[in-house]
Amino acid sequence: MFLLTGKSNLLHMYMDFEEIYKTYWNKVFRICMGYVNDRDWAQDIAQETFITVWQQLPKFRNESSIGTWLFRIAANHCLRQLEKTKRYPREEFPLQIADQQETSNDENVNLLYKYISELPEIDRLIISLELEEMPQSEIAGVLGITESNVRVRIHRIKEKLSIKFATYEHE
Amino acid sequence: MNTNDFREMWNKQITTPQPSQEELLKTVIKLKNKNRNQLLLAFVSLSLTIIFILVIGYYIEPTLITTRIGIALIIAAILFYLFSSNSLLRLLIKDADQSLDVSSYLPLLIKIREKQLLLGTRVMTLYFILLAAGLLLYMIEYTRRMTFGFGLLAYGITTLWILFNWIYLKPRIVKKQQAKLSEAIKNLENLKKQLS
Repeated sequence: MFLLTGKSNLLHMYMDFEEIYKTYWNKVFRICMGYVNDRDWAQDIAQETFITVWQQLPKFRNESSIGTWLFRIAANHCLRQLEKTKRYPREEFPLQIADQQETSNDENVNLLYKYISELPEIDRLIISLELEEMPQSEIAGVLGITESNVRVRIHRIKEKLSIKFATYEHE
Repeated sequence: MNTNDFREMWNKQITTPQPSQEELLKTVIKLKNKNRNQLLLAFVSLSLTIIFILVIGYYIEPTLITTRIGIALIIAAILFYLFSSNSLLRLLIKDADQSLDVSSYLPLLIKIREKQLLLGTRVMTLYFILLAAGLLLYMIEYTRRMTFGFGLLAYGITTLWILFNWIYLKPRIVKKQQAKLSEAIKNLENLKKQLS
């Protein structure tokens, strides 16, 4: 009996995880992409995030929404990247050009992600979560700062990005 | 440009296809195995060292107990040196809970890194102390057979060597070993500042 319960718990967890994984993969990938602006690297961080999600899922207690909980893990994984050795820029791998063409975005999209990845680390996370339409109260919950602080910073970051785009268009 | 423009562009990013769930869980198992193997390796090297000390203690036939203690200390020093690698130290200290909010996570991570730094430095200090003490004890039996002058010379040279290690080599080795950790702590402190 005990064994059966254990197995069905694991099955539940597997199903819960499947749903989370499907719902959040694209969101987490975009946030990582905004942070590093490198597709392979972003995919690695997104994968690491979901590995931690799987490992920590039994400990999730509904104290926060699943989104806040998951984006905390993603944000912390992004911030830990600075402990790793810096990657080579993609230009050094000519073989991967074909791969890059398959995933070519609109020029403005590339610029947006480039500009975001040039911001200070915490600002990158704030604007990425904002663009994922996360309520400001939840962004505050992910970062552990006040909602008014989040509001002010989002405003400033958007101004910065607009200026960057405007200067680019004038060039 | 307004928020909606940004949002529209943001969502246009072509995401990479997600790896299959099975693929992802395989990685989880691999990670688990890697951790287990590291622990196993640490345990095996510890056991082998102890066996080695016992075997040597059994087979050599010094007349003085100081020689045996000296050899044991030297081997213990080597063991400590093996343990000073960061990956092994990381096994001894629990990682920070990644589901904490960033403002709680960063200080915790900094604390853990500082702990690793301190532990690494302490291990190195202990290594040099054990090695020096082991060497000096080991020499007693053999210098007793020499004339007083030669004995003094032998101890003088050894002491000089130990001082050279302590004053010159140890700080350099510690600095080099811990450079990555110190760098990580500095970077994390910078991140923490961005939060206030």
